[in-house]
Amino acid sequence: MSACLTTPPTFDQPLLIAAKPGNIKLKVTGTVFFDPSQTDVITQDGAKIPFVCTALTLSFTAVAGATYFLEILHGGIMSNSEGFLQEDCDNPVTLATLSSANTAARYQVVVAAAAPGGTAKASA
Amino acid sequence: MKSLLRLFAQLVLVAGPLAAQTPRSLAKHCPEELNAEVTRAAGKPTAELGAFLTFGGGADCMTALLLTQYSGTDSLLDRAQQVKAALQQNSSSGSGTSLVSKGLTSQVLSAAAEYGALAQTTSGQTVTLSGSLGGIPAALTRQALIDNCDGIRIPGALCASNATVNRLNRLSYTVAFNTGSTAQSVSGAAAATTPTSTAQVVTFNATTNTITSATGKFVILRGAAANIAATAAAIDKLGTKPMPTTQMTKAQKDSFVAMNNYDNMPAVKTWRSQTAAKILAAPPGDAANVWLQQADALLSAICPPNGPNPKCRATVLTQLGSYAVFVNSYKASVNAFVETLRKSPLLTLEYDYNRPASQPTNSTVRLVGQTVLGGWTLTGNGAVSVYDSTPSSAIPGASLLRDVQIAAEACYDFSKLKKSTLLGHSTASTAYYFQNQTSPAILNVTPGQPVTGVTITGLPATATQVYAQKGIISILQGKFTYSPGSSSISLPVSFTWSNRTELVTNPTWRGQVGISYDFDSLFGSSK
Repeated sequence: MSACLTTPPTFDQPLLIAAKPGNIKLKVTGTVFFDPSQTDVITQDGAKIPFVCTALTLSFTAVAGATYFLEILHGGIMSNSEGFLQEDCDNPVTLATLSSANTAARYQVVVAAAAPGGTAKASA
Repeated sequence: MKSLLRLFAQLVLVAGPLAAQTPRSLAKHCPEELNAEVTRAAGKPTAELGAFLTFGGGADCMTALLLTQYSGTDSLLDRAQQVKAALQQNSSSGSGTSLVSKGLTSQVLSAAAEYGALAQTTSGQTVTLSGSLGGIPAALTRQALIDNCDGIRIPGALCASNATVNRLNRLSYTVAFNTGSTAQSVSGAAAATTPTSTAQVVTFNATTNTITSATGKFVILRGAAANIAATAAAIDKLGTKPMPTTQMTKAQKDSFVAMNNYDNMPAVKTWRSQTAAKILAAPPGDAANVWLQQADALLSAICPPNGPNPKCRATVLTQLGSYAVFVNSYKASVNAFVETLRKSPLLTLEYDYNRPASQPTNSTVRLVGQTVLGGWTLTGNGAVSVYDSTPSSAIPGASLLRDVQIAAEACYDFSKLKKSTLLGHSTASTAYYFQNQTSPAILNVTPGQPVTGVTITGLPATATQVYAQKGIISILQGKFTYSPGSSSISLPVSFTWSNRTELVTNPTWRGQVGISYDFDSLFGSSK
């Protein structure tokens, strides 16, 4: 496990996930799964970036200063399934609720710009 | 095709246990989800509650909420046709692909086949139609003719829930048609014998055998549903192949993205804050009602009544309809996928209507049970077969009861061993079949026209039926299939012994050795 790179959204910006640069691996817990062939990670221009999506994980490399959109299509094993999107890291927190009440989700990931000296600061 | 479609839909709507909808009803899981978020929020405006009130995080529920403002009362089929025309999906309106082209029943079967409610396979001269009852509402949902109760419900439409489809799927059917030249045999007899005449009057008699068998199955006890681990494993096993679910079209994707842009409108942000505050201030259990009352305000936030774009509301509703059609179909396809992962039925009742060539028709009722214990799969069944008409009294010992059957099989899967061995995914099975032929097997014969594959000598010209000896039939079979490791090659070896068959009273031994290769493995690759 590694330190978390993401910060969960807030009520004022409920679809915005702030992140630090690096390889971000997300997971869904509960009884919900991703539809890998209909899940995308795209830039603001709509271009796809390389990512790996399985039924329960989604990982991609976040570049400093970039903004991405996670376009997630998900299903559930039951009609009232519920799952939680979390980063696969130490002490993960819930970034979003993915339930069978909804099907498609679109979250924005804003990656902090690299700070002088090589460190990055996450900001919303 | 339009009238055919209407007929098919009407038949299904009359027959199916579908739920009518009140004008302001919603996707039923939205209130559940909202209540869960309110409970988790504990009086504070959380990100999850905020996301529920956006298209990016709660697209289905936001769509359902806005569609309550849709005041159209078009009939179901008109609405479906509008949706289909708008989405330019009317690709199934061609003709000439159906199995049978005339007659009411064939038209319904034809439409069902074309819309995916049943499957048609052809092997040699036999065409087999098969399907399950749930396939019909599922096909209607995929074609946007009805809504999915578990998806987004459009006011004025009927819907079928995934649970209803799953219940209907307990009943399945198979009908086999003989389309070959043997489907009808014609025999003739001269009316008079006048040897000198060059022309004779002949009376013809035709025997048709178009339907060779029909089977209906009802699953009494279903196997366990797949859990999330088994479902995820099945998805990941697909590799780069897409899940067998409805794919979002470009137009639907564009609608979804356009809807997401509304989230950033200042008026919509204000609506979100006000709605969240009202929901959190509502009495316990009243959150969904408060949310529902905010639908008009949301539509006004997106499309102000006196705004600059007079077509705004129409544009929004088109986007909502496009997304709703996708969601309803997608959820039906996800449900179908998950159901395919369900374990084998535990108890099944089966009815077979058999019309074998040159034999009297008979019916068989069979009860099939199966259970899995570790690596063992144990299957047992019992059946009773009866003739559909009383056999001729000229056949000694013949009665309506044709035979009684009992069978049992035990199969072991070596891949279930705790330690992997050289046996890999090999399986070993043994089976025993018992049949008490209480009434002789009967063959219908026509003088001068022998039964295909059977040679009978010394038969009187007046004979119309022949029969075999009744008695006990025992069949024992053992089979071992060697499938090493993850190889796609398997080597089955089997032997079969029987003391007799229905017609032949001599014991028989048979051995079989084969080799098979799973070509699907060539096309499936891991990521």
